[in-house]
Amino acid sequence: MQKISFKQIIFLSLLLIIGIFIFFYKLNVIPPGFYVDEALEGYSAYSILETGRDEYGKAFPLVFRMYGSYNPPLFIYLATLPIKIWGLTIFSVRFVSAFSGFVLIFIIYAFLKSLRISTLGSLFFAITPVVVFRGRVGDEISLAFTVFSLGSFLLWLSVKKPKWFIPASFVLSLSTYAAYSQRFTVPFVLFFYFLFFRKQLLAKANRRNLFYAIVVLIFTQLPHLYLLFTPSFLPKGGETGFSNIIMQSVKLRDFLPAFLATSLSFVREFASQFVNYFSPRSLFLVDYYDLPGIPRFYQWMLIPYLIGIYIVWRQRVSDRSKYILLLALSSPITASLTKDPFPVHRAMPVLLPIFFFIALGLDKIVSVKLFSSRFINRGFYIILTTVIFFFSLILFWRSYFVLFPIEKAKYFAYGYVELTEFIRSNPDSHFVVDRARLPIPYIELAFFLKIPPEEFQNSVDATIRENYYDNPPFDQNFKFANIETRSIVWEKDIYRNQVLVGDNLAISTQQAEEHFLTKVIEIKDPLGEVIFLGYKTNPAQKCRATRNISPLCKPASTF
Amino acid sequence: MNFREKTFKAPAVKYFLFLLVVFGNLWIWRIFTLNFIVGTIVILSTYLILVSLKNSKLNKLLIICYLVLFLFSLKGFNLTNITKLDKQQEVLQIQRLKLYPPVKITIGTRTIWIPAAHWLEERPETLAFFRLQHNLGEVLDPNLYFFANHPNERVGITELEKFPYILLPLFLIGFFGINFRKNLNIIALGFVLPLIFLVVGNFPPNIEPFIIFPFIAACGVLGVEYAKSLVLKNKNSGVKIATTLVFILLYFLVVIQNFLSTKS
Repeated sequence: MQKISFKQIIFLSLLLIIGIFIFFYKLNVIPPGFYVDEALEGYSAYSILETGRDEYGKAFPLVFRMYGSYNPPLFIYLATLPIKIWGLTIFSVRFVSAFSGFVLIFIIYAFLKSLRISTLGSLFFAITPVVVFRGRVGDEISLAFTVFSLGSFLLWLSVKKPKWFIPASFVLSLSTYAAYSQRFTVPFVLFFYFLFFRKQLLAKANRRNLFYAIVVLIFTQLPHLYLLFTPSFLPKGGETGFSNIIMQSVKLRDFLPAFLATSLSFVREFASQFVNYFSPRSLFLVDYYDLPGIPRFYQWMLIPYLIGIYIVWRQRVSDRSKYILLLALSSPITASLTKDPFPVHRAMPVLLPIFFFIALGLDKIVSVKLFSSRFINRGFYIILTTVIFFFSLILFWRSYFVLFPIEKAKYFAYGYVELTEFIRSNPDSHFVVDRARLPIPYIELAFFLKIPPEEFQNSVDATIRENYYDNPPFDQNFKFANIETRSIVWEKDIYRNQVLVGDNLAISTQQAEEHFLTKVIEIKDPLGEVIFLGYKTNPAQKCRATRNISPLCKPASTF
Repeated sequence: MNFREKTFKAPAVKYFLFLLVVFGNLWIWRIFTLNFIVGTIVILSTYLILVSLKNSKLNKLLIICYLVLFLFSLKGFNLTNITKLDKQQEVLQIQRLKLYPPVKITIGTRTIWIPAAHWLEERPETLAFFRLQHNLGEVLDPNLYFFANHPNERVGITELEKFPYILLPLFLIGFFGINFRKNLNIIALGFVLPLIFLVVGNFPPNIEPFIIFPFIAACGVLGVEYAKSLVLKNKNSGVKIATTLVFILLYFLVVIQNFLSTKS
């Protein structure tokens, strides 16, 4: 085993401090609010922990049903641990993601070391905007990327030592249970690995390893094989880019045969999406839509990125370059088949080869001898690295810690903490939360009110758990505790003593006046925009004013 | 060497490849319709870049060609505009200035207040930095040149097809195949200077960045020649002919596809 030098210990300590700060500092308040996916995964984990069943009452599901789709299970099962320790809090749900991001820094460190690339890259990886942003959101994306990176690292080790192919297969197979898109990405990676390194893989001496790896793959994929022919295995078929392809091919059909028109359109659509993942514009120059004022990678990384690609191309016959190329070719395929331009949550594996290009370029830059004195040369690069590091940190601080919590609060389901506090302080009131424009409010309410899972499971349609993997229709209306999440029915709801809650468009001032509603709560986002409005109904006054015209005004009404 | 092999290595094939890349795209025809002289200089520059790259020596005529191209590109050049914000950006700037917490450094009893909001939102250097980043993003994007900016189409701008996408891998092979150390001055003239010009010039977004055409086309030709060398390695003449014909057929199919996409 290699000895770790003192310099490495200092460097690793630095990574440790940066990693802890960047992934855990103010984790419970930034991102602001609590995104609906976080609430879904968090409450599912809580439900599993408390009852061994998910929100629909299904015991230990292989995939989790979530608002008409299915999510892989790994994150949810792992999230039960922090929830057990710290309870059902925002921090607990985000902990698995943040910890994954933190661990990933060290995986990247080891990966770069084994690729014989300067480990300086891992320092910048630790503060890369897209990596940190995803690492601080409590969903499966960061965990999946970490498991995928670990699997890719082991796969790289297997190029030199084939025995690593067995653990690589296991970890890569495991990553298919971490994110939906990786069910497709991992087979592509393995296919390209076979294509690029088939001689080593099929060598007589390695056949035993190959056999065991295939056994591991088959064994670990049994749950997926069980689900293969159920609708839960491919719930996101509608997200593919086929509609774009059809639209494009229509333009060609007057002049080309249909088959050719569709094929050409497919190639164009796929190639344009694929190239977009490597475009300097998308990576370094255009603001990341989730974060204000910063691209996915720092702007200066463009230079080492281009140098890195150049090096890989020049040394394309070397195992290292072949491996980085195989990752670059295989990892964007899945995301390129979808219609959205650069959906990061599906394209995280692409970040790995992109980062290797950057790290290779950095390695090349710092190896250039600008001064004849070794001491001055070294000093120059240390100063340069420090300046660039702090410059990057300032850009990140501006975007993530100053602008993001305020400008993007609304999109991160801000305001549910205040709303649930109000609901909790009014246990005798009945609440109708208008879900017309709110993205799946039921789960946010269930999460923050810590609704006992048994109670929630009893409130949902029991037939869902019987046909769990058959994707039964998703009913967006929920009723639990003293809450209903559904659209407001104006003909009825104003004749019952309750609180109507909605966004700023749900209940207008005129409606409030007309129906004698009293505003009881108003929640604004940090920019001062109204997110939630709550009005208390006054059925007695409404009935008096309308001279009991509504049948619901009559005492015998059973509404 | 039989007749078929001689045909493959004939100089005419070399020129055919050059003509295929330079004229086999919609962009050059649009440049011609905009200005015939510019179109001619663009093609001449492409040829001269290729000659210069092959000899690793900067052709003087190429410098003159670029000077002319720069002159023709001056329309819309707006250096003073680089720190100016439009109304929407001004509103955002005012909003963002209020979001910063007070930043201070305390050394002993001394406190230094740092005007972070001013530095990061208001200073001309910062505004120029973000503007240049944005401008560079507009021109340093393969999707702009090979896919009419798909899937990043801009609102209010008609995105136009430029090169056929089949040329993209060949362009990349050509670009990364250049010996950068030996051809630094050619790359500076053909790629870096036009890029700086387009970025600093702060042009409107609907501008035709034709000044970059010669370099892309030249890299495309280099890539096609590299592919040809791979085909030539095959000893079977039938395979060579079939590969060449398939490539040419696909090339024109993609050009037709581009044309039809533009029509509607």
